[in-house]
Amino acid sequence: MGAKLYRPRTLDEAQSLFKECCGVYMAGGTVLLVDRRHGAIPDADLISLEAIPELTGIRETTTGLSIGALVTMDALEASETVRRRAYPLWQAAREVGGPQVRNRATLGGNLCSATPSADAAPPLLAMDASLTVAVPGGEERRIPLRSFFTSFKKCALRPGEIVTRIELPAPPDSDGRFYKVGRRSALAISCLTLAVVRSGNTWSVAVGAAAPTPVWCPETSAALSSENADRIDRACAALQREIAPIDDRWGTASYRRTVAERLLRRALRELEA
Amino acid sequence: MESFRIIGTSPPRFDTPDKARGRAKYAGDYTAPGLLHVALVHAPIPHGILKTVKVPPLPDDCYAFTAKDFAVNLLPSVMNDQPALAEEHIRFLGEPVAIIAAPSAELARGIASSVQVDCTPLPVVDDMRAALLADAPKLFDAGNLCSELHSEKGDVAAGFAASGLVLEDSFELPVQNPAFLEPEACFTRIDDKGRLAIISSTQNAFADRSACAQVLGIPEDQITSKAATVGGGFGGKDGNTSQVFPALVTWKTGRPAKYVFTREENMMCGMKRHSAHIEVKVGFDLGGKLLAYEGRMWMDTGAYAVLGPAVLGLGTEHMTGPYLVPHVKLDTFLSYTNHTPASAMRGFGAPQTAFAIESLMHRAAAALGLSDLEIRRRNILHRGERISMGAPLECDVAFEEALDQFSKSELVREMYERPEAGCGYGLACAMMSCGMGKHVPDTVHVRLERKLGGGYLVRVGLVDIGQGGQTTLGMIAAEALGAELHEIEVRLADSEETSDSGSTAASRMTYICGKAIIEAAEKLKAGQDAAEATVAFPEIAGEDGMHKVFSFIAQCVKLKIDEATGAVKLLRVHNTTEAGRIIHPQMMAGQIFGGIVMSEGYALTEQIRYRGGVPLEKDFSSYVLPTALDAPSMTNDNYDFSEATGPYGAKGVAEAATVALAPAVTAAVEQLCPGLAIKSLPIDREEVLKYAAGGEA
Repeated sequence: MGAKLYRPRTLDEAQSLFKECCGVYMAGGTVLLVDRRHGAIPDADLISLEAIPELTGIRETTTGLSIGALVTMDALEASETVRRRAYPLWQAAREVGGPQVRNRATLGGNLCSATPSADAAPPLLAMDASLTVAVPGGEERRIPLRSFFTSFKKCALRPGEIVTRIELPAPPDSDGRFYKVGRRSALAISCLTLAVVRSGNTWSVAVGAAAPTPVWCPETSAALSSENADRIDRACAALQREIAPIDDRWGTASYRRTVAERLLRRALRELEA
Repeated sequence: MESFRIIGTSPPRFDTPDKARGRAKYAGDYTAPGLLHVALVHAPIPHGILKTVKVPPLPDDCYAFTAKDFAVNLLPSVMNDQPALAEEHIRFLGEPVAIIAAPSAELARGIASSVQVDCTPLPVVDDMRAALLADAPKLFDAGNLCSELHSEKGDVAAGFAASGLVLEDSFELPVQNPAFLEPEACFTRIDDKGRLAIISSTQNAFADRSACAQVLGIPEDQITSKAATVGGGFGGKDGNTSQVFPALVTWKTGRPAKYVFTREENMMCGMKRHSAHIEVKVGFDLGGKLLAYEGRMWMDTGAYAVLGPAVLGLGTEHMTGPYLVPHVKLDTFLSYTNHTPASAMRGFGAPQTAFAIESLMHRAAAALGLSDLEIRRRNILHRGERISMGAPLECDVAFEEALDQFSKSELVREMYERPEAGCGYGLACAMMSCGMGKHVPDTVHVRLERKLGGGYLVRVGLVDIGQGGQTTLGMIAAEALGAELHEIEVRLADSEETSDSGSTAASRMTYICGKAIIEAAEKLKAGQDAAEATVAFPEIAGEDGMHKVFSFIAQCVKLKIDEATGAVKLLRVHNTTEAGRIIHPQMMAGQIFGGIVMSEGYALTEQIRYRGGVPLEKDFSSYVLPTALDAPSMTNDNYDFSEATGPYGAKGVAEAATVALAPAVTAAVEQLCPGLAIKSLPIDREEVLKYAAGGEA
C-alpha cells in the first residue's frame, strides 16, 4: 500500500530513480507482483522499464540474434526470426504461462528472476547467450549467461544494473529442442525443463528446475560432442552428475533424474533423425 | 412418438446476452453509498482452544465483530454443529473467528491480518480412520463419528461362497475443490422497508434467509433474499458460505456491506468434495455375474458435518453402481477431522464409490476374459430390481439400450475394432440419482401468470447457477402453454417474487420444476390468469425414502502416456447418457463436457492434501485444474427415451457426467502399463512412469 510506480523513458532516468527512491526494477511484473502479493518481497516503489526504447526489439546480427530484455514471450512466440534461428527459445517462450502471462512476461524478467524453473534459461544457456548490462553511470558490461545465475533466485547483477539486451549466437547449421514437464499443458510451473542445441557435431545441454539454478551441463555436452561409441550413455551418466534435483510438490528428485535422461534421449533421437 | 415444438431444440440461452455484454450482475458487482467491505479473521491453527481475539485500535468508520455479536452463534444444518464464528473451539485452519468491516476491502483485510488470535493448540485429527479410534483427540464431546450407515441385503457369506472369482482392494479418493469461476460472495443492505436485503452467490436464496434469521435472532419476514447472477456452484454454494458475515455487519451498522472471498479463502474455507477410503470385496460367478459385494467406507467431512451425512448416504446408496448384486453388505462411516469442511459437490458421494466398483469391474473383466463392456452388460440393473441398499429401481430405465448405442459409437468401435497403436482405451458406467433422497424435503412450488399486455411470467424459487435452468424452465413453460419462447419470462430465486422450493442441487431442478410448470400451465390454459402448482419428488411418497429416479451414463476414454514423463494426455472422450428426454441438447452437451473436464481434474491433477491439519494446496498455482489445452476432444449422444414421471419425459442430469470418468481413465492407463493397478486419485505420474513401456529408458 502506498508504493509508487515510476515509468522512466531512459536508462539514465531509471538508474537515477533507483538511486533516489530505493525502488525495484520491474519488467512484465509476472513474478514480481505475485511475490509482492504473497508478501515475499517488501512493498517497495516500482520502476517500470517498459518505456525504455533500448530494451525492445528483436534484431538479427552477424552471428545470431540480439533480443531486447523487455521483449515479451508473446513477441518471441510471434517472431518468425526467433523460430528460424533459435527454435528451442521459441519453444520455451510459447510454453510460458498462458496467453495473458506471455503478453506481459519478458525475456529479461524471466532471466533476472533467476528461478530454477525459468523457462527461457535452458535454451539460452545451451546456446551460450550473453547479457548486455547497463551499469549506473553510463558504462556497459557483458555477462555470459553461463555465469549469470549465482545461487537460488540470485544472479550476478549488481545494485542498479539493468539487463538491456540478450545476445545469442545462432550458427546457420544449428538446431535444437526444448522440453517442459509440468502438471498441465498451460499455466504450469515447470517440474523439469531441458534444452539441447546442436551445431554440426557440437552439442550443448542445459536443464532447468533440477538444481538451485538453471544449469548448463558442460560434461554432458562434451560427452555428446565426442566420437565415442558410447557417447550417449556417457552423456546420460554425466547429466546425472551435473544436476542436483530436490523433492518438491512438482516431483521427486529421482523422478526428475529419470525424466531428464529420457528427455535427453528423446532430443537426440529427434535431432539425429 | 410425441412431437414437440420447443423441447429437444437448442435455442439461445436467456442469460447469454447479459453475460456476453458484461451486464450480468454478480453479487460482487453490487454496491451502494456508504458500503462497508467485509474481511474475516481466520483461525491460525487447525485445532485449539480460542483464548482471546485482540483487535487493534480501529480507524474511523471501521468495525469489528466476534461470535458474541450473533444472537445465536449456530448455523442451521443437519447436525447443528457449526458456529457462524468460532467462539471457544477452533476446528480447522482458517475457520472464521472475527469480522472486520471497513470502507475499503484493502483496509478491511489489512485490519483483519493485524488482529491477534491467541489459542492453545490441541492435538490434530488428520486421518478419517484414526479419528474414530478410542484414543483420538475429540473435535466434539460426543466423539468424531459424525454418522454411520449399515445395510445388508441377501447373504454376503453365501454370495462369496458361490463366487468363482473374488476380488478385494482398497481405494483412496482425494479432496476436490468445486473451483467455480466466481468465488463465494454476498451483498447486504437495509431496504426501504427497514428489512435486511441479501443478494448472494448461492444455490438456495431461501436457506440464506433462514440462516440469517437464525443467527441474527430476527423473524424471516424482516429479511428478503435473492440470488444474484451466479458464476457456478457445483454444490459448493449449497448452504452458508459468506452470507451471515455481511448480514451481521448490515444489521448492526445499518450500512450496506459486501463480502467476496479471495481465491485463497475459497481454497481454505470453501466447501469441498469428501475424501474417502473405501475397502471393497466383490464376488462374481465365472460368467461374470456379480454375486456379492461387501464394502466399508470412511468419508472425511472435516471440521463440520454440513451436508456430509447426506453425502455419505448417497455415496453408500450408489456403492454397487448401476448393477444388480444379490448379496450386499455395506458399512460406512463419516468422520470429523481438523480439515476444511466437506459438503455437497457434483456427484455427492457417487464419484468416490463409483471409482471402487468400476475399478473392480475392469479387473474382473480381465480375469474372466470378458470385455469391459460385456461384463457390465451382464450385470445391468433393470426397472424393479433392487439397488445396493435394497430399494427397488422404480423409474423408467433404458440403460441396456443406451449401452447398445454406446457400443456403436465411433470411439467404442475404435477401441474394440481398430485401436490406434500406443493409445490406451478404457470405459466405465455409472448411475446418478435425481432428487434429494432420504428424509430431505423435496417439494417445489411454482406460479405462472398471464402478463398484462401479453406473455407469461414463470416464478420459481430455484437458481440458475450457470447450468441454464432459467432457459430450460422457460422452454418447458412455452411448450406447455403453447406459447413462443420470447413470450416467456422466468423469474427465479427471490423471496419477494417466488416461493421456497429448497436447494438448486441433486440434479432436481429441471425434473421437479418442469413437472410443476406443466401442471400450472394446464390450469392457466383452462382460463385462469394465474396458477400455482406444488410437486414433490416420488421418493417422498416411498416408505424407504430412497431415490426413485436415476440417470445412467457410459463413458469411453482414449489417451496417451508420455513415456519420458509418465504424463497422461486425454485425447478423446465419448459419453452416452440415458437421462430420459433431453430438453435442450446443446446445454445437455455442455453439462456433460463440463463434467468430463471437472472429472479429468479429479482423475489426473486435483487434490488438497493435509499435513497436521494444514492444507498443502492453498491457491490455484498449486491446486492444478485442467486448462482448455488439457481438455480432450469430446462427443456426446443421448439415448432417446422418456421417463413416465418426468416433465416431457426428462430426468435430471447435472451430476451424472462426474461419476464414471475417473475409472475409465485409470482403466485406459492400466492398459498401457501392464502390472499397474491404480488405487488412488489423482493418478501418480511417477508410478505410471515406472510401468509405462520403457522404450526410452
